Amino acid sequence: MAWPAEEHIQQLVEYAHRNLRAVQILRRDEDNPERAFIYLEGKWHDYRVMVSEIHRRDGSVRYGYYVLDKDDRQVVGFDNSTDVTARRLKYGPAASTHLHEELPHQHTPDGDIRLTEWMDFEGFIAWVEGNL
Amino acid sequence: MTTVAIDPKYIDVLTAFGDANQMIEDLVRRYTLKRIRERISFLQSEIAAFESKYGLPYEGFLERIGTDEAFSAHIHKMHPTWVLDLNRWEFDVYDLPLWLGRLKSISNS
Repeated sequence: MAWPAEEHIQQLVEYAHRNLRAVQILRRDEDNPERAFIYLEGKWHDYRVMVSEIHRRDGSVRYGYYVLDKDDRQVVGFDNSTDVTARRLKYGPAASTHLHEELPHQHTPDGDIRLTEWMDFEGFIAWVEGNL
Repeated sequence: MTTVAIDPKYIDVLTAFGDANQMIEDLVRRYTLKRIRERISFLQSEIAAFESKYGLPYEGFLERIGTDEAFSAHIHKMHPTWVLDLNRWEFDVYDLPLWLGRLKSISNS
């Protein structure tokens, strides 16, 4: 089934091969009419890079881009999950009125969460190259 | 109906046993059902593994991670890359009915 997510995922895979080493496509599925999914891992220098996106028919996307060090400790993570802490940071006491809203945020190694702009895979790679 | 090319050597031999078309239809049906069951089993086992790892069914986990800050902090600490699991979990949950439907459709045909 052809839908925009299919082309997006193909481009993501090609970009991963151009910018990471030892890329492994651990799961990729675009057969489902309601969801398309990609999960891949690769290496950037000594770091382990983990990338996942789920695309929904309504056009929404949940992404997760993570970097682990050689001891598998999280160095950084970017995602837009419906995290309660991210919602509280953005909406304060009104957080409960934005239940299930997916908010872009960053996870730091010490467990903090910071709100971010929307991140895509290319932006994530640029962040990695500029900060690690 | 879709036409599929099959090497004549198989047709020649199958004809010795009867209706080659019917035999091929039966073989394709059985193989397709086998592959569908394998996919269903994979999805069910992966969903069960996520439920065991996070202690909740998918919808319950989604609700709790979005409302319970202590639970969220615990999950972040224990499973820092849990969002990668969540994406996979969501896909599995939505993919399973598709394959169950395909199983039903072909089983009944």
